[in-house]
Amino acid sequence: MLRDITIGQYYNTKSFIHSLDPRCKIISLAVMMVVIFMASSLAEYAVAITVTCLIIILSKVELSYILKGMKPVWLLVVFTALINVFMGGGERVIFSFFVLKVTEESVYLAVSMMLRVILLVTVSTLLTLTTSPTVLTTGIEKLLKPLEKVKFPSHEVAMMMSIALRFIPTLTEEADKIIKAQAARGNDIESGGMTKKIKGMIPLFVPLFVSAFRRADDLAMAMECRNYTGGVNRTSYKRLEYKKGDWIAYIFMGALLAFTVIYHTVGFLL
Amino acid sequence: MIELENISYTYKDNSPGGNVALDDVSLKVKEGEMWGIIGHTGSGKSTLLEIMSGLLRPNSGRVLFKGEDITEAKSPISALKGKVGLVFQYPEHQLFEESVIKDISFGPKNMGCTEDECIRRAREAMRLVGLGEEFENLSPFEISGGEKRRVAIAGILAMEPEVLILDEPAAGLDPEGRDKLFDMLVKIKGTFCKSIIFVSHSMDDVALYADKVMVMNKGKCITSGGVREVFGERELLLEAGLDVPQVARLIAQLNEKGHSFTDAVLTVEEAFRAIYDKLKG
Ligand SMILES: Nc1ncnc2c1ncn2[C@@H]1O[C@H](COP(=O)(O)OP(=O)(O)OP(=O)(O)O)[C@@H](O)[C@H]1O
Ligand SMILES: [Mg+2]
Repeated sequence: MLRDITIGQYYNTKSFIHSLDPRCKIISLAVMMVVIFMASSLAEYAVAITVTCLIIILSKVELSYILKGMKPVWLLVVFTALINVFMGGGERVIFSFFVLKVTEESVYLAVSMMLRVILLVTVSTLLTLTTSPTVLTTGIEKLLKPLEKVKFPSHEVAMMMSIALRFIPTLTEEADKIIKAQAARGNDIESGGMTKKIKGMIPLFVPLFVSAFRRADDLAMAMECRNYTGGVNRTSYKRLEYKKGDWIAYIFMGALLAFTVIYHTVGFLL
Repeated sequence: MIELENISYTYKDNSPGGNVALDDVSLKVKEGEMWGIIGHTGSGKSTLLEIMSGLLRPNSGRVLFKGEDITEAKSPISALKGKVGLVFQYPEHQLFEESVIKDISFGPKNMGCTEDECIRRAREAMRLVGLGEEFENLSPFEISGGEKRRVAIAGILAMEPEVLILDEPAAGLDPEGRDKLFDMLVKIKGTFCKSIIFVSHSMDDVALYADKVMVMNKGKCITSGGVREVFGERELLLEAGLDVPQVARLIAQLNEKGHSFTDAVLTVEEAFRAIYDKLKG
């Protein structure tokens, strides 16, 4: 089950999306987030969904793979939706039950919240699925570069992020092993009440943290042994260069952003 | 004790159709036997051990413990009630308690033993693995790697399993530590522990300590039986990416050069006898 987490994993194929410059993809992701957050009408949601589907198709990532990545957030999505349905308030009551009442507004709110979360997770997952960690790091670093003027450690931050991403699958694998090893000693986290479950977590978390620290220590040592001293004067093996596809993507995303902003303001004015 | 009947297991991962780890594997472990399981990396040995100890439920096939089918139980591992103990590869990574004795008592405590019983079993397990009393109150994080390994194994022994299963127990130990470990295994077989199954990448260890061997290749059991019979089939082992013990290789080379040693030489002791007798004439 833990192995199902696909956030931070790279799906290796060749596709238009894979070939895009990481900077272009990160900025596109930011645009998509704005579009999704600003969406408030049916038309805007339709546009957001269509664009997301388009990206999925262009990325050639199997749909089942993306759906699997949704699994861990399913609970959250359903939970927020339920809360919104029952507690959303509003006038036009569909039916009520004790203090709980379901209104047209609350249903609308719940559905739009759900859509937002799903779309957000999907587009963010798509970024890491189509960009290998090293390339992603270089992209982040390049984007943060201007901030170096105000002493922002852009290289270090990018490096930290890429290492964190890189270790997600390693740690889930490790957690899987530890869960099994403690289960072999009779540690039961599946049955029993809440307190028993929480108690059963201690034998999992302690070894997991110990191993995470050990790995971090080993990695730091290994990097130092290879003379890693941070970002000063470091050149990059992979040069980032914008190609035709990137400009097309930029223009498309620009148009999308313009459309959303204009539609939104016009919608308000009307 | 334990019987595996036509076990198959497929990991559902990202590859299409999943990852076939075991394909129609059968094995019968009797009381008093010491089994060695050998096979190249990724041949499914660890998966097999996890199925045997009830941690994984096979996709098809049955696991019988003392004639009782545990695969049908709601939770195979609780159906075994700690009677089958599995020591994972690098078990020292699972230590978590504040003191050695507490960590070792974790298993018995989960089985519902009383406080006194837990301590008694933990002390007994420490004695078996050769950890002195001075270790009891040390933190499991401040002792050496080899000692941690022993603490972890003691943690399983304290559950007093009737079948002990170990996944590469000697990996990363020095020669002395390895010999001590296997001597300990030989010693405990016959106490509460009736049968032992271990995975090893060392043919020499298997030849020296196991009496039965099972050979895995790409998720299939290609042969199993007595140590001598299995190591007699060198071609089959080479095909599976394995080989016979070093001593047997030496004897085979001598025989190629026209000597006539018996093929049934697996350990240094046996080789010494055979060569010594020959030299004496
Ligand atoms: N949790 C898992 N998810 C997906 N595939 C797995 C998982 N664990 C093992 N596998 C795969 O199943 C196959 C058998 O693995 P297993 O760990 O049983 O091999 P092994 O014989 O123990 O190898 P080693 O000697 O390296 O320990 C391998 O192809 C492996 O990649
Ligand atoms: Mg293994």
